[in-house]
Amino acid sequence: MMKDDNRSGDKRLSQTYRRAAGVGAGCGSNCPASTRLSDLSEGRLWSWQRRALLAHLSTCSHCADDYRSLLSAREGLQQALMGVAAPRGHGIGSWLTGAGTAAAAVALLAVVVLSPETQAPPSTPVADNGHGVIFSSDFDAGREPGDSENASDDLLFSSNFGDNGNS
Amino acid sequence: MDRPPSTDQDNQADGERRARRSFDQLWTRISGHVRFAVSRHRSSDAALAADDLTQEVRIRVWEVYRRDRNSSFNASYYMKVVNSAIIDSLRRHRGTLAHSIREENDDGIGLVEQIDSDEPGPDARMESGLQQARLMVAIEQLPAARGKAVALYLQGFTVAEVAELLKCDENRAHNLTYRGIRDLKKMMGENHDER
Repeated sequence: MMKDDNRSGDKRLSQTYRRAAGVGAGCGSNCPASTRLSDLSEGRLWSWQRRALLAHLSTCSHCADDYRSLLSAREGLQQALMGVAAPRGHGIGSWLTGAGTAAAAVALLAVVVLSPETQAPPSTPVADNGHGVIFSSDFDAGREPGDSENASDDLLFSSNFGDNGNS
Repeated sequence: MDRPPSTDQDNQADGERRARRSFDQLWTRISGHVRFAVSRHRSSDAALAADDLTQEVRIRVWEVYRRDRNSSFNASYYMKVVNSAIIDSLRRHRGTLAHSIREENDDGIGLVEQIDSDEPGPDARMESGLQQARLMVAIEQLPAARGKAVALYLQGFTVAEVAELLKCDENRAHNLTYRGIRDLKKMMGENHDER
């Protein structure tokens, strides 16, 4: 019950603040360029630039909304774009088409198999996953991906004062 | 029948087709995320506007992609292109009817539905103005770090986002925001803790 009161109180404060800060000014000449907001979301700004942008986001509701839109899609977009290594028609991918792809694959395989450097001497310890192939992930033992998920257990306060995580 | 020798125009058209195909693959991967970004803070009935915005972003990214097709794909560069296109598109449509649905009130009722509702009288407007002024003064009186955290929180950022913006850990952002809001409520005469 008290939590609900806190949430509604926070919401009222937020609405009052946004009315006072935004005042329907819209994005005028004082608002940062869209590329600058993009840089902020990717951590590409100097600290003084970041501070200036934060001051603006604190007082311009429209830019704050727009920036939150970027944040909401950031992770997914990053992963999607990183997955596009070299689509067809781009750079090295453009000439690797049809028969060229097959020929290149055969040539690459031959080079790898015949190269003496790819064969480790018997005395060299290697990470082997049992299939005769070395994966970089075989060296990553010990990392616990779920570790960071327990960070909320360390919070000093049990109240979230209205922060439900999906504002 | 002999095929006519390929001309530069044929090659160009072929390149264009290949670029379009590869762009379609790229767009398939990112379109859902773009749509999610432009749809945020919108009502579900604003689907048409979200489609329009997504299409605008698509055109903008395609223009860059087409010019850039002979160089290797740079994910970081395209992240910036997509982000800028999203922001510009949102800004361009600010103030249009569909976009105004973003401005929702406490009960989730958009501006369109509010047209027939009771307009606040001059007294209520004056009271609201005074309340806003009191809040701004109260925030200025907070210690600087708390004031920054509170301002961002009241703008709608989550504690995690405030932490990222202030470059501090989440516990500190939580403390700054919690204490700031608590002080603010005291100063504004709302003793929520005692209820």
